[in-house]
Amino acid sequence: MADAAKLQATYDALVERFVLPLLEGQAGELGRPIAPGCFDFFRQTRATSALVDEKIFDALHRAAADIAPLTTVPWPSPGLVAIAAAAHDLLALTDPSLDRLFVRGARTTVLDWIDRWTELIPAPATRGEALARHGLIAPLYRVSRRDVIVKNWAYTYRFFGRAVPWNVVAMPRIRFVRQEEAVVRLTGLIAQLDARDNLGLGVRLRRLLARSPVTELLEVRELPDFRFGLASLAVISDPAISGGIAKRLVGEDEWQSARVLGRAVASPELHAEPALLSVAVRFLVEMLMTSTLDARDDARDVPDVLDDGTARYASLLVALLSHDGALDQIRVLDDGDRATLQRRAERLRAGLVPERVREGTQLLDLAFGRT
Amino acid sequence: MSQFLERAALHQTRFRTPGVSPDARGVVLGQRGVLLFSSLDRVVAFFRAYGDEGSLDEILPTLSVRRVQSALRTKEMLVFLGAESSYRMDRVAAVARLAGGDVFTGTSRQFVKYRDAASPLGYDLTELVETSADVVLHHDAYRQAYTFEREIPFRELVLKLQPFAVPLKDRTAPARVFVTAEVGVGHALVGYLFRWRVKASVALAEWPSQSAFDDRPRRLHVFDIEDVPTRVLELLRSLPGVSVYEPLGARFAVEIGFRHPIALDSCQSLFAEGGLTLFRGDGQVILVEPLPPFAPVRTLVRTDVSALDGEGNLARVVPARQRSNIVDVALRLAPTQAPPRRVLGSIVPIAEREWLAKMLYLLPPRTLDSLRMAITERAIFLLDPNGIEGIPLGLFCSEIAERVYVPAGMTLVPQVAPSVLSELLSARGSGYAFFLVDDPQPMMLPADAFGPVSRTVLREVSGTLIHGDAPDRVDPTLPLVAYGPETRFPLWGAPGQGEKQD
Repeated sequence: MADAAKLQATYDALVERFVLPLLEGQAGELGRPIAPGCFDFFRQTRATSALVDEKIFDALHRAAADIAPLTTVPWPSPGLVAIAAAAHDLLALTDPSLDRLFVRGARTTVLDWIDRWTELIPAPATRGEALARHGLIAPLYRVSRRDVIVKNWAYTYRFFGRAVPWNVVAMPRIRFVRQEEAVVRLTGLIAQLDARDNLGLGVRLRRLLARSPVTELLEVRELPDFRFGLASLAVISDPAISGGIAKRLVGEDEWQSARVLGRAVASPELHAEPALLSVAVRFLVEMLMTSTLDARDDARDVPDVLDDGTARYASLLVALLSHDGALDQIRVLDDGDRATLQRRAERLRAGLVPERVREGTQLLDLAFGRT
Repeated sequence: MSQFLERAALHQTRFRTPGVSPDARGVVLGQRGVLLFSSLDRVVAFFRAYGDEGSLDEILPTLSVRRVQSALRTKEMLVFLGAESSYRMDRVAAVARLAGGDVFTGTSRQFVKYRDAASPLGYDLTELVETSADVVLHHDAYRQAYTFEREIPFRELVLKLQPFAVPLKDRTAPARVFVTAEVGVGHALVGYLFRWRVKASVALAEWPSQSAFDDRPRRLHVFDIEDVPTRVLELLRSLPGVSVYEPLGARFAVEIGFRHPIALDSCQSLFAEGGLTLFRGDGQVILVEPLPPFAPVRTLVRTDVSALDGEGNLARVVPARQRSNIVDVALRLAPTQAPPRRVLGSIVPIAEREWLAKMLYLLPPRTLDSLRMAITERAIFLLDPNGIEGIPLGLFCSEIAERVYVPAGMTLVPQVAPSVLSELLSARGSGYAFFLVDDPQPMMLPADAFGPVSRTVLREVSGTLIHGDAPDRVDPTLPLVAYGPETRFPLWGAPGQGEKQD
């Protein structure tokens, strides 16, 4: 088989047997790890079956439109294909068959490939690209593996993420065949592998996640080390994406996300550049306004104890109502909404010390300008 | 528990909140109750709900509505009322919470949250706060100080609210109505009501002129009509310059077809004893105070006094069949100087049908709705019970008797009464008669020849059926991952290994 045909077959297997089932909630099949040398070919090709491309486009568009309105998603694009290949290699490393003697060395090579694939992914340049990446990576966070243990009267067989051959379960009554199934989350599996073999898969998964700023922000409550990077700030400077993310965050668990975001907004790197800090603070203000005015009533609850991050987050609403620069945001609201904001601010003020409110005012000074 | 409030205990006699004490049931109660609302429309909602459920009269003597300002310069509304018993406060609190308000009790400046399900005996302060504000409200979630801005008298609020329209279908005529009419129409109404034996009395109300440019005071005829027939009521409602009101109490009434937002019969004490308050549908309020004397319409109608001759004038009646032999009189059209009245029809020559078709595109929906049309070979006949002036085409016709039309500016001579004219044209049945200048005989059109414009001239619209099912809701299941076949050399044959990175 010629090289081009081999590369095309690899690309087809990647998009048809791994990406598409992953997006449609079915079982994706992992083949041999893919080397980054394929990138030159992958960036110029398309799937042999146009139907596969169409289905992937639909699935990505559907997932992206859940966050914000958009015209189209750029599938296939070099960034999305590189993400798919990196995710493929990362998941392939969880295969327990790679832990055998004389095979174990392959894992080091594949780890190096994952790093190189990740470096090939540029920051998203358009709204469609950013949202499409979220559509591709979000299922990765939910993916699971089906482990089956088959026992008969004499033996026990274990099939981790592989189909059970028919002859193992044949004649179940005569051979006393019993099966036990367990579905394991791959994120948990990666943590186990890192703890046992110190492969660094978790770090690489986190690095891959950072290539999709929308997913990073939506999963922020599970990322205690989150920092506002240039990519994530670029994403939330788009009003449509910012509004969609804010609505999703306050609809799930506002205060868990607020804890991490409040801590991230205090980072010294961000304070060194007021223009960037302004974007982050405006996003937090949008979350507060959304949770107070748009979200369900139970989302407006205030926790009894405010830690460092949540207190900084809460102080923004308290400071907002008395801040001259932010009055334009308040003035456009009607009387009922202003009263709702004020009531929640009063409730939050009860849990804050005056220094914290002053800190919120300083953040708003940087974001909206001092008047 | 809140940091501002603590629950009151049974038999507790000493409170940190000034001016409150337990009543016979042990509920913490001050001399006054305060309701906090975020805006004026919530206050109106409270009065609407409370007025429908009970009587506003019982809280009116102690009621005051104030607009207040918080320390953050937001405007809110406070309603003060006397807290005479916890039973009344319970009812007030239930309605106020329904309208989106918070309820407090107290006596002078410090008000504490009124009892709720969390604390059935009410609340007391954990500590008293010294402040210069006019009112301090202590809620379990907040403590807020307010300064008074202005008071809104309840009567002023009621008079400023605009009634809203209600449908009139399946509605019987009320037993008594008030009618206001401009002076020009009023005299005609007096004669009309007398002619139809309607039991009515009338008064002339006057108001001083609003402007120095008015040369006379404003005057209105006010009618008090009992047992008004439905057709008379419909006629009065359709007359310009005439408004019809349904009395809700002895001293106030709302225009028929409208309802005031607040149940006025629950706050009768607002309206003066010797006056009359009439709420018009457009929001204008007519205050007739003091009430002028009413006189029956029969005493005011203009009468022609003609002396009756003696018996010599009595003639022997000729049998009906012989009358036309003695006197042969035909009805003829003749010009008249009287202004045309009830111009309700138009005859459009068939040659002008294109213009009429273009005109139909421009007519407002209301005119199109009431317009009736009959198409004949010679002309198109148009009828509009609201007046045909909206269609500037054809020969305008006045209705001189029921369903009898003559060209505008002309009349039938001899000028017989409409009822007589109807009898003469009894052959037309339920149809319409049009007298034309060049035709001695009237044109008779059956009633079913007239139909709505939409059914008469518009082409039938046949829509194209399209299917608009909702898109499938896709909720993908959690994805799984499966490894490929187990190999001895997992990287052997993997493509791209030898190529360099860009």
